[in-house]
Amino acid sequence: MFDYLANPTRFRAITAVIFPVAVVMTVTAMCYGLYLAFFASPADYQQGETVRIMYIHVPAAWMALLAYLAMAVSAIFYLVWRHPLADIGARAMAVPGASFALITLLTGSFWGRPMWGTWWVWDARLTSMLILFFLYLGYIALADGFERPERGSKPASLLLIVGVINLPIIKFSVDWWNTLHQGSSVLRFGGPSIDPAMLLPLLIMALAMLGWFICISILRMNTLLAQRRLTALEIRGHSSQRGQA
Amino acid sequence: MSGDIGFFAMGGYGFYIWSSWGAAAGILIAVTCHSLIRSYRVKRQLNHHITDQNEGDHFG
Repeated sequence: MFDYLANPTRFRAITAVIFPVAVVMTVTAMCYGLYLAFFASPADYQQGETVRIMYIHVPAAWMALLAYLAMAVSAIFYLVWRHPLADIGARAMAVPGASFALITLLTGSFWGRPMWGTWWVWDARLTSMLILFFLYLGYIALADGFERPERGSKPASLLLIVGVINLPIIKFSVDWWNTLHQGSSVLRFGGPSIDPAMLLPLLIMALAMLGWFICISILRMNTLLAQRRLTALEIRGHSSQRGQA
Repeated sequence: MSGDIGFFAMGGYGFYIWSSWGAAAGILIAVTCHSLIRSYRVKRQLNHHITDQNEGDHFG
């Protein structure tokens, strides 16, 4: 499948169809999700209105993990099959992925302060999430840190693959260690323990964020492709000038 | 307390809830704008480059 997608022209044709669909999905889900999160869902019996932070915090955390996983899969495709488009995909997903990690950390802090009485605690879930954010930053620094961007692709891809070890640590940190963070209530054995009135806004917000992630990733991939083309044209321009002289 | 004030106060947790959503909205909007501006700039540069080259070919 990836071979089929790896042709930039075909990629542009496919994304020209996916992009508007993703935009519509994002806007619709965001509007419906905001309505559900603020008007059509109840306050929690223990946490009161602060439960409304969950509708942004939890989907952002899911997306931070999913985006990282997608980048790591792209990195494998790049390292094994040398598809430049896989590298461009990972690069395009880095900034939106990092923003999900940052949103998770910030909203978690704003939730922890009233509920736990602290903005931050060095427990397993919070620390492993912070490490994920730093992995994103490290990837961006490594991928963009070279004068010729392609030189950063291999070390940055390796960093992504090594960092995958952090994903199960984040997911199961609440089970493996005693943490202040609550346990899983949606993706757990025995089905979700969360009330449907709260599960629906959670899923709709997750859909909105997934849509946004797809839109931004496609946009950034196209920009990176255009950038590479521009660089190639410039190099060709210089060499032909030199040839004339 | 009127209904509106109650909605924004969020049972006394208004600061935390609106800060959370505000921070998230700010980040999502900033990344969207950054991506759009970069896309626009690079595509404009590319178009300039292509037209320049075509003109160069034509007059050269």
